[in-house]
Amino acid sequence: MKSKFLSGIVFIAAGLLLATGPYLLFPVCKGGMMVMRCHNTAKAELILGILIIAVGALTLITKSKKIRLWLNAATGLLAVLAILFPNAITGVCSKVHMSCRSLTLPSIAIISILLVFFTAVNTLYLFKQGNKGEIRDGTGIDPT
Amino acid sequence: MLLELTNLCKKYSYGDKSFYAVRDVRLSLNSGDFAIIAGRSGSGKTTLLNLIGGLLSPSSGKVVFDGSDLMSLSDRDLSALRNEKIGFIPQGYSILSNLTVLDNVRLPYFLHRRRGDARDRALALLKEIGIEHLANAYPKSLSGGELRRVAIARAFINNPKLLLADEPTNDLDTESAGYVMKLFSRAAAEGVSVLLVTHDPDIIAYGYRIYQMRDGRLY
Amino acid sequence: MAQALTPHKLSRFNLKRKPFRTYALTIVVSVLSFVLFGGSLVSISLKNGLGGLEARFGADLIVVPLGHESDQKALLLTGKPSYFYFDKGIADKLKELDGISKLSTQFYLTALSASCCSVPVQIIGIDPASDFTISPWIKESVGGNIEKGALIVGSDIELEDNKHIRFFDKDYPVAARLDETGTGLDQSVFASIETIKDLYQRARQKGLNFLAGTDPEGSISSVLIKVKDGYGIERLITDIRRSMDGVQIIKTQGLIGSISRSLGNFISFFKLFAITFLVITLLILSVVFSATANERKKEFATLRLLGATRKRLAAILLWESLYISGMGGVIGTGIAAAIVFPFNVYIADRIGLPYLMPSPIWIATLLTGSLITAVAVGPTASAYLAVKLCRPQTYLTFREGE
Repeated sequence: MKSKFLSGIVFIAAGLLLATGPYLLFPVCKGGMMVMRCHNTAKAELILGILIIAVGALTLITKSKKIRLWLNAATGLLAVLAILFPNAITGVCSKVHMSCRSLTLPSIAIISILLVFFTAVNTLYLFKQGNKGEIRDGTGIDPT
Repeated sequence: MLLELTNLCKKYSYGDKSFYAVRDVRLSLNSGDFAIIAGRSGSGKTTLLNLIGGLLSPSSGKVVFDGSDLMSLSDRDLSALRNEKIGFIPQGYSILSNLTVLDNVRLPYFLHRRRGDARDRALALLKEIGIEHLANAYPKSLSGGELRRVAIARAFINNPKLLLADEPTNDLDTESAGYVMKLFSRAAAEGVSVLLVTHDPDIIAYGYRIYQMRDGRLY
Repeated sequence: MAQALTPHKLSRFNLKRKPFRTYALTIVVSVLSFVLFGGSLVSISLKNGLGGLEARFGADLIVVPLGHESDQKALLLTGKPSYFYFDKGIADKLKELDGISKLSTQFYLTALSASCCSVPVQIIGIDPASDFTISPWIKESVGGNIEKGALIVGSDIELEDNKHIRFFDKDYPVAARLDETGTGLDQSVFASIETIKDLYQRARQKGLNFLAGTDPEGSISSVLIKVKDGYGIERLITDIRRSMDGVQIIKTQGLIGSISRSLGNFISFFKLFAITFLVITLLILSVVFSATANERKKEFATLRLLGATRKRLAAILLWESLYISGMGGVIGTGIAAAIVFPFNVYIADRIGLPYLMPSPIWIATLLTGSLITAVAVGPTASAYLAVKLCRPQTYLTFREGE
């Protein structure tokens, strides 16, 4: 029960940070005449962040441990994508001192890495619990 | 002779005043003896037990245990002797709250270098004393009587030659007290020397030798 | 087999069963190690940055157009791009003054580069014939002269394909990348005066109007001067002021001096802060340990009468404190590393001073030092108690009626 609550809250918080961070907390470069790469990254993070928030909300209301296991794995994958976008897919600006690179990129990387780590540990935990049987807290009987 | 006290004194001084908690005590015990010292609280019983266990050093006189004069031993040797040969059941609650019941009983086994894990022996002792089901419980959830039994089981873990018990039946109901006293009797019958101090008149009858302690003197 | 109840196992049980105390103390130690490692790393980086500035400043004086002193300083210190010009005749006039051993001019340009960025890059045009500041350094890095039309880039300039950089729709070959200095020069691109002319033409063709009224033939941005040995810098400054108007003179020694003064303040503040923190942490731990020792008297007395030596009691206590400070040390330095390394550019830009990370060996040394200090805090704080437990006349006995 506790782990479910914790992971739901952690997902929602991380999702919020990833979605809004590139616009507010650790902003990408200020737009000029050109459309910059980092703006695409910010958009990608916004979408990924919203998806992670949605998964977090689902985690909070899902009773089945099996489904929560999958939700966890999905969050882990989204977090990996969140790292890949600024680093490899859309990228950030090429100047080292631009804020998208000096601030946004490491912030996203740290949040995502922590999230990947969290989901990995949690998935392992849920997997073990699942093997033990789901009846312990009385709520976990898979409806299917 | 297992234990011999000669003219044992312990003097305490507070400022100008001084008084004797233990005065000129003479006592000898053999293996298999069951001695009970009765006395009111404040009569010096606990101080006497601390002296015998080597936890306090006497102001004068001698404690000779199993052939060695306790005063002549180093902390290391004295600790080893206490650990190996004396089972101590102190007054009040002496069970470590951070360890499970089983670990509390096993604890003395590990205080000096030994092989093995003492688990089976500890479980056997707990079974004998009727609280095997509490082995993995923490002391917080135990009653006073149960804690006392844990302390007794712990005292036996290293097969001591001498058992020192300070008010072991204090705050136990009559039935539990009787049970505990039977355990001591059996230990004495098996050759362990038992020395018990108490102010409970009901249990004095269990002893083979009975002493009175008043104002530090043994009668 | 059940676990053996060694002193360090016992200490772990004790910590586990008192989670609040354990976590609180661990947090205190991790804050300390965070401050020690993070703070010393930033301090050393700033010191290195200053060193880089000193090493790359061959000139004693920089003469710039009136009103552009701060632009020139920002360009050198933080790499903030700017451009400003005055007449080339100034340099010729300066040459006539006594007390000058070397003199060279530079021409600044800013340009948008790469494919995405709307922030311009600083381009510094140098005159290879007279330059005495950048060229020796370029030679150090490149090992020879630059091929014609090629550019040299600072260490922070990113290249698309590692060989070219694109300005005004033309790919310019890059001859070399300079070593990191931690100064604004890392973000600059260097070009010979010939290449600058080409860049300038292209900029004009693109319709960049800010260049109106200037051209690399007749304009310059700054004059770098090396004063003759024995000739007073102040005297030369006075001479320059007397002979011309419309210029501002930057004394590099003064610039470096003021930076090193503010850096000195920063570092002594940090030292004071770190020492205060160390003392406070020691105090907190000592107080908590001695406070708990009183409530643990019974526990220690029990261990004594079960046959534990005094040394063993001390060992349990020391293990507990070592666990706390060890965990705190690792957590604190870990968090510091997770912030200082990824965000090092951001931190440097926020401080606004030359900033150069030390070598890995230095970093490892700082890490080890911070860890050792943090780890030592626990045992130090509990040492008094451990000694007290080891004292012969024991206070650890069961009293009557207790």
